[in-house]
Amino acid sequence: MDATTGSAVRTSGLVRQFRTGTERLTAIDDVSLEIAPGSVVALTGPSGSGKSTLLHMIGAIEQADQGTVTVDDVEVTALRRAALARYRQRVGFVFQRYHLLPALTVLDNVIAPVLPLRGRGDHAARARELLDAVGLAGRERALPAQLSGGQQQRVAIARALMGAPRLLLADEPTGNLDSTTGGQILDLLLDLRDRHGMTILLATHERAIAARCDRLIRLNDGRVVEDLDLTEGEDPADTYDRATRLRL
Amino acid sequence: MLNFVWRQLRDRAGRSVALLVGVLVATTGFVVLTGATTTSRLNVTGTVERSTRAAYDILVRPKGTRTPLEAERGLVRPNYLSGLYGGITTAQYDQVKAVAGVDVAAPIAMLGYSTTAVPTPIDLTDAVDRSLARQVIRVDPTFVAERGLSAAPGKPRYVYVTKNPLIYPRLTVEFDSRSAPYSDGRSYPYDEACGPVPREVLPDGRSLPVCDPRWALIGEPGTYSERADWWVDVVRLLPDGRFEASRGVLTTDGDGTTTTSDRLVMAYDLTVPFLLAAVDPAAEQRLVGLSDAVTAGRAIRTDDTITETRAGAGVNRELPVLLTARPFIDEALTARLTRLPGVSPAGVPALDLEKTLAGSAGIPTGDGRSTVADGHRATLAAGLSRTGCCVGQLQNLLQSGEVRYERSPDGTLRAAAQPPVAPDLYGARFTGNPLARPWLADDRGSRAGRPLALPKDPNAFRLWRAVGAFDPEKLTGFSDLGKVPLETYEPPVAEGADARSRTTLGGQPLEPSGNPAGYLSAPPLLLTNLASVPELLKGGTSPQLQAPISAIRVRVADVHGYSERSAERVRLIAERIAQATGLDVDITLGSSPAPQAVELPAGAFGRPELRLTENWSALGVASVIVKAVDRKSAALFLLVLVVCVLFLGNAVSAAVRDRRPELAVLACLGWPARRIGALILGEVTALGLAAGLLAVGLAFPLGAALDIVVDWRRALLAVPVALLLALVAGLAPALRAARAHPAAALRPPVATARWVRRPRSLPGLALVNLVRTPGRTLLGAGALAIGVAALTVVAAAAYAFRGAIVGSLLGDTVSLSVRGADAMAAVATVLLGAAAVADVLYLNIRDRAAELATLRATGWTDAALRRLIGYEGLLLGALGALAGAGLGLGGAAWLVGELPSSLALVTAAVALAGMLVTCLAALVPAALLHRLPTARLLAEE
Repeated sequence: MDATTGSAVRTSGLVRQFRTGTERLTAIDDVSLEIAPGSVVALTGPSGSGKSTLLHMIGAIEQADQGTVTVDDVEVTALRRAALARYRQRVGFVFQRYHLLPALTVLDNVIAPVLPLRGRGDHAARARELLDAVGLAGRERALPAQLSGGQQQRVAIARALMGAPRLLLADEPTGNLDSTTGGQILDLLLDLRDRHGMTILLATHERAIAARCDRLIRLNDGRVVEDLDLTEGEDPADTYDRATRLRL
Repeated sequence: MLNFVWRQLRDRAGRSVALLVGVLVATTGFVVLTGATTTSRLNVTGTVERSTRAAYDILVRPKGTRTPLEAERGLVRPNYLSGLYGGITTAQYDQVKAVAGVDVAAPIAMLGYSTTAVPTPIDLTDAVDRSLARQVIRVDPTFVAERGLSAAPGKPRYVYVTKNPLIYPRLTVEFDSRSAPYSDGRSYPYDEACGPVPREVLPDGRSLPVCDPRWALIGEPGTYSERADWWVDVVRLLPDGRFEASRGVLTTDGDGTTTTSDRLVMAYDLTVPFLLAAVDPAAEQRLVGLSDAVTAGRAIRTDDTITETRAGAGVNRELPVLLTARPFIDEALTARLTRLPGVSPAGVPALDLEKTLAGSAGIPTGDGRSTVADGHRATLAAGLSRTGCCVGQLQNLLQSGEVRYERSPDGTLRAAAQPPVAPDLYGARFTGNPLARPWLADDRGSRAGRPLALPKDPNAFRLWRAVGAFDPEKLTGFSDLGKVPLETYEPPVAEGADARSRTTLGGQPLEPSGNPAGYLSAPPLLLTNLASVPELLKGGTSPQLQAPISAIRVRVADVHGYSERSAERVRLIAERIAQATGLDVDITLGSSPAPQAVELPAGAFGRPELRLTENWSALGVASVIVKAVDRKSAALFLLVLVVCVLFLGNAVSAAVRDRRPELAVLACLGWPARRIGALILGEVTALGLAAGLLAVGLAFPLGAALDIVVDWRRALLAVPVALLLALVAGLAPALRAARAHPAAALRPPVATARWVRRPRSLPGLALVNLVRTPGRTLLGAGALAIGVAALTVVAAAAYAFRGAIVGSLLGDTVSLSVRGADAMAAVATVLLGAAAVADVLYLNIRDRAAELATLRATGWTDAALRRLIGYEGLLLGALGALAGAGLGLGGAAWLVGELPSSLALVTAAVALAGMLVTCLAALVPAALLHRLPTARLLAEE
């Protein structure tokens, strides 16, 4: 697996609104952030606070009404369609519902992002390597329906890593999993960060998960209401207490 | 319930409108197109017992010219062209030529009889007493015809033979009305009755005129019968024993004004009617090899035309013709010769000539005989030349009508006698016909006569000139054993039908006489080209100016000998010709000679009543044009509905699938299964009813636009058709909806594939996706396959089999020909099939939207997604098109019992077209991909 350096992410004055019936709902309201390369950032907040929307905007699957997203000095919000697709190939995405292709085997799901590209032989080898890394060696020929939720999420993570991303965006990656499995998934993500140095943004409303991240950004009604660095002079136990106190 | 149904329809307005439009289009199309299923069909009855073939397979004649007798008995009379003058326009001829499957369409325009002089020379050499200084040979002519049964004496002609020198008028030099220059260099006066005639130089130096009664005595040529024609020729018996006369008196040609000959052979003529017809030389060559039958000169050409040359103050208009080498006319001139010694007409006034010559006693010196056939042959043998053979007048053309028959109970036909044709039809004063009327024109006939209304131009003289001669016996199929008497150039022959008639005819058949209104009519003897007809008739009032063609003989392509398949093919082409032109068509393929007894009333010149056997043609099959439903068209239109049902069924199914959560909730709330089913059926019924009512209103303007008659009854058919269509399409989904279970809402819309294969590429992934929805895939491909199969058969009929497939089905010979409406229906079915494929792709995209959004989120470009959908469309199209093409190919090949390469080619082309159309249709759902709400689809629900 490639050793990479994580991406630096910067958002500036991001605004995203949705129309629901006659009303206009502001999902993201003037969000400006700077995320250091290689950090693991938890986006927290209640349902509807804008966590997923912010992730989608950084991952370029949602457009911003205002503001900019800059990743590694590339202004993503200014990219056109083809460039956006190339950008997305360098960003890993993990979803709460895994979104695996049910008709494809585990191996083929991992390969799916690069299927339109040529040189499939190398891709299969790399996919097997990734599956080995996420602990699914030997399950390559299984169908998603034959896997547990945790295993499916591991497949989704392997798929997200297929493009050797420097930025991994995870939207409630443990939301559909029990706490033990969820913890294992986070272990996996943190291990990947430690090995490859990628930047990870994960949306979660589980405090135990958020507390293990480097930084916590809390959103409410689309605004950043709290931004905590969880690594400064505190040991992990304190961090957990603090997180508990903050009713994450 | 009704309110509930209404709300459902209103809340899903987009899908409701889509379904309504689907039913509306299918119903309107069906109702309007079925208006084109009623067509005229050529029904044939009867079976063929003998396999004979004429040069052509179909005879096309003007509407209404098939006689009741022919229609009733399925017969075609010999020489059916006689009495048929025009009636078919050149536009109709073009329509016949344009009918697919027509190999040769040979038109013939009968124009009428030109009375023509045929030499019947009489040799008087042996009647001359060379010892006499002056003598007259009286020639008492008898005109005979019809195996000698008709005979009539003519006025005596006289040949004055003298040993004295003769001087001749030089009529090429200008002369006045009182005197003319002569060959001795002097001028001599002449009187009006006698004319500038040769003069006998007496031993004393005086010269006396030998008057010619034709100069002024008899009247204008054309106004009298050749029987009344008489003249006095003068011949000098030279000291060396040869004979000298004015040029034209003897049969030998000479220089200048005189001719000399060893023998005294008088150039007498008979006036014989030659039937003039116009043909398309190229078509005639292909049909019967006309050009190959040319024996002298050249063939008539398509670009030959009437030429004009100045002749004094007037103009000669010369029609080029191809002249027959065999006139097929049984007629002869016989003569009794009597020598009148010592008699001289020299110096006898014209008015006293007859009295002087007829009153003289004489010595019988033999007789002579000359036939028209021999005379014509001898003329042609001398070769065609500008000054010699052969020309004829076109000042008067006579058209004789059909024979009318009275039918006897025993089946014998009796030709109704007709009075002689009015003499002035052959020529009257100032009509300019230089020939006397044929003697047989005064015989009783079997046909009425009328003149061809030619333009009246006193300064023009119309004539025909032979550019070549053809021998009818060299034409293809002439005198073939087993032939049917339908050949255009075949002379009609009638044998004696009983012992008395056979004896009377001397055991020989009766042949056409020189009476143009006679019972037997000679075939066309003069052939010109069609292009000259308007030129000839221009300025006249003949209806043939507008419709010159009398009949079209059609040979059908790919027919070799008689077989049921050939017969069906010919029937089909005949049907198309009838439909395209409205003309009478008869199928001559499979015709056989049908001897017909005919009674011929006695003639006016001695021929007794005869009972004859004539070779009519029994048509192998009787053709009747009837109104009938084109079952093949109806089947094609039904296919439109079938494809629509598949299309709509898929759409309704998808709609029901969309509503599974809602239906599951209703099931939870205690709705019974039948009520849930009724809800779905109620919705599609409401849509069907609305579509049906709208279709009623649309059917009229659409019918008018397509030129298809749609009446109220047919338009109202739209309502039940639309209802049925909607109900059939909605039945299966409704039954499935009735089985709704709360857990159904949790199942994914698209199942995983049962058959898993690792996709190595985009096409592989597309294949996996299609396999995941086998029912939908088969439905879309099936709809396309039906369309492609229909189009394959239709295109095969149109292109591989020249417009019609003829084959066997369950032992019956059947045919399948293509009309515009059929092609339209087949193309519509393919388009609907392609639309069904596009709908399948659309539904697939919608149901797999989250998957596609995931792929996009993982970096797939829109182009890659479009390629994926494109491959799905291509695979679906290939499946449907290949299956349909295979079905169509197999069906057509099975029907005809062979697999020609052209059929394979057409099938491949249709399959390719089907795939292409499908790919184009797939562009629509592929274009919708960029509207996928990726973020919403991927967000936590």
